[in-house]
Amino acid sequence: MSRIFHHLFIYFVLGVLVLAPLGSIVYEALQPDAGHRQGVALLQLGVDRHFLHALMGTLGFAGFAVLFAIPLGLALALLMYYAPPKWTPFWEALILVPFLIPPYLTAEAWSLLVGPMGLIEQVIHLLGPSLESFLYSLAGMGAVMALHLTPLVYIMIRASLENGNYRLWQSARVHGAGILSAFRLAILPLLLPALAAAALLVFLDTSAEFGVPALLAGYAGVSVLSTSIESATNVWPINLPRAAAIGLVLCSMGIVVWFLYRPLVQDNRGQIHRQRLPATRWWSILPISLFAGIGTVLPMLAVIALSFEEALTNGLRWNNFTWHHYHHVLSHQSSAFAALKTSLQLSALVAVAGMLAALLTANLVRRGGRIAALVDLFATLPMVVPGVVLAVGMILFWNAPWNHLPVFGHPIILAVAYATATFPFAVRYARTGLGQIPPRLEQAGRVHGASSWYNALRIQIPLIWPMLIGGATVVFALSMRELVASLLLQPAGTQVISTYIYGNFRQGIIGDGMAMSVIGIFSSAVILGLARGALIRR
Amino acid sequence: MKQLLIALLGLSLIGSVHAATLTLYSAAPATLAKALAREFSKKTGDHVNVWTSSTGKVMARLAAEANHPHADVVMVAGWSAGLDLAQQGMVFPYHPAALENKLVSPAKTTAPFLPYGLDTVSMVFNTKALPHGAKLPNSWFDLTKPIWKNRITAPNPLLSGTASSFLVAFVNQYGNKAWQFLADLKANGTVWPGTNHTALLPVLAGERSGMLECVGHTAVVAKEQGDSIAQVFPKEGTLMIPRPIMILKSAPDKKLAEEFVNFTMSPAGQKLVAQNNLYPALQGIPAKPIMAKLGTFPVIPVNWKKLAANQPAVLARFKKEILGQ
Repeated sequence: MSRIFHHLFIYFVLGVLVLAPLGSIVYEALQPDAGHRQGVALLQLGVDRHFLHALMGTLGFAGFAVLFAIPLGLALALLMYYAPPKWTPFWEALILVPFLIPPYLTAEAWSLLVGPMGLIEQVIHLLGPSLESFLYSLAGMGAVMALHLTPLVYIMIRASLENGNYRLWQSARVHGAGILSAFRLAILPLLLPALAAAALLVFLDTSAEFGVPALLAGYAGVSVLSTSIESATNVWPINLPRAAAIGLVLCSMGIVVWFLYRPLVQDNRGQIHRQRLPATRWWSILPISLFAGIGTVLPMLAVIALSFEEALTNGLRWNNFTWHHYHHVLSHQSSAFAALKTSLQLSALVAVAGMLAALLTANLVRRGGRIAALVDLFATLPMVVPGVVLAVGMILFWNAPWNHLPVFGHPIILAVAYATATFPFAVRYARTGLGQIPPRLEQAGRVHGASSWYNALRIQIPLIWPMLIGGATVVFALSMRELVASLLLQPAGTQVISTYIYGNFRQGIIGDGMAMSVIGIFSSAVILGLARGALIRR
Repeated sequence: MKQLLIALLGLSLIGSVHAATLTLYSAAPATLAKALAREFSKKTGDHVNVWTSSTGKVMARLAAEANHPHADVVMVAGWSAGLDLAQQGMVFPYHPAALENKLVSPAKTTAPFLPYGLDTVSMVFNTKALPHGAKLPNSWFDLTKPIWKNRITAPNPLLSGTASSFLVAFVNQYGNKAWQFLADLKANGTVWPGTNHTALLPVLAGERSGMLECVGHTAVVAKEQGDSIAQVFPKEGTLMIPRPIMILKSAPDKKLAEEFVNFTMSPAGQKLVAQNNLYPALQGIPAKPIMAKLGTFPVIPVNWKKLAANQPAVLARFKKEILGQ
């Protein structure tokens, strides 16, 4: 009985979180386009010049991101592996930090840094205008995404290097190969799958990105799919079938990329050999600092400087300094404080509830079988669904004429959206955790009559709580930064931290938004740090 | 476990349900909508939920929610957008003669709703970021000259209510010359990146020199913050655009909605309108001294009914020919 209930509960969770919005997208994409009244919106895209233009934009944007991120990530990984500087963990952390800054914030920061009156020009009287024309182009947008995603590439290539077989390199050298040809023969072939996987992941993430093109594409004179979906949903006159159809195209692209990606990362043989610790080299801090400067230090300095600036055009001067923005954000009555509170509440709720649902799902998947494979597939699917498509699907489902549940128009809809977007990560953490429990313990529990709920509560959670907390912090951090679904779904009277920052930036209220960014980044970092501290102490 | 989940969900529901009674969708300056909501709550004890965005997005949200309307009162930025909603039968007529008689003369125009304020559009320049040797222009048509190449931005009329009202009036006045002007602007590197704020930002940051069709209140905020901003009213004239406040037919509590409209139109509400850099619609409430005095700049006379009827076609053509969407 309890087993049936367990299954039904998982089906319900996946149905609400994943199937409902995606089903609505597919259904709506097959309706007639609002502009034509007949035919299927999905097919009309084929002859739609503007759609094709946006498709080229997305491909170019993602292509440039790959082009920049892969060489950068590869170079950093090789450097850290073969010629690490002293205090390696510190430099590694510095390489990883850009991944923690939401991309829309990097884009905002860079758009304030460049330009004839930007911060760079104000300080060194150089480069401002030329950097500006680079930033407001497809290549510039790609570069911003690349800054954000290079840490990911770095991690994947670094792991692949660690897995490489050092003896191959030694035997190549012994047999007289030079350093370069030994690299080409013994190391590069083993790196290729990781490089390909990293490229696909960067492509996937960039094509789904909304914040960066929303901020930069208007000035660059290009359009991409994610912003076309948003404007078809969000700007009058609306055209939901068209939005759904474009969304379906974007999702299909993601699924194709995902299926190419999956086999590449499963090839992890995990060589065991003694590692020769390479000698440290001081000069390797130069390229690493350069990357950290462009990816982290400059944008963060810009955000901090502007959070203290009174008027934008008066520039960096002492008489232009003010505490006012922080005072405003932290004062109890302000909408900023309410947004911060809402974000914290929703993210905490999603972290706890999402992790519990993920634990139950992982339990079901672990038992194996056809149903388990299907459940696993649906639980992973949100990985390839861009936030903007998810949001359109949720509008279509929760705002449908027959749906009378008061979810749309209530803040809880944001929690549902966050839960969907983060579910694959939660399930992955839960599965890794469960993998650490010897099956005997649970079998003993079951033999003594414990239900699967009781088992989860009394055996699994006490054993794997560090993994669950790790997953919960990831879910929490992802929920705190989510932008596009929040923009499309937030009801009257509700704002979250990302929509507050984005909205203020677009309204030209730069200072308050930047002060909020500083507070947001700090509070997330503190919470992540505390969680990590709790894990390590154990 | 299940109880825990339900309890958590329940807690979050209770935590976030407000004693909400009135929902306001607003494309008024965000500070104004929030101030009106706050003062109204203080006065009556009723809560107001506010969602602020641009006119294009407010209209989109109303259309998307046609099946399950959430908004009770709507404030947008362009008079023609309001007439359009009325045309679709969404507006509950509320314009008592007692209030209409007290309006300033540019705001006196028949519609099933009231104007909560007025605003203009103008050209705005950053005097620190003018091209070398350039003087401030005094005609809309000056901006297609080569000296302004890649130096100008404009708000997207699909998003901005005032820009759409101006565009329709401008096309109505100049016909094909207007479309040629827009095409020339585009060829001269002008961009339409988004709302008024989005278009003004590169001007404030010095990446661009100026902006056309900038809504007045946004320019005034920039001026007040000490920015080097100059506002220019071109010699061809600008528009005096009334901004509608409407009650939706779907509002369950019309009395409460009317109370909110009455409060907005009361001297107390109109003072908030003035404080947020709009021209008040009510006689006897002065606009801020920093704002150009009514009558000191030329204004194009308009027939709003006719403009509202042309608006969808003009916007569709603009979207296709100028924005290329």
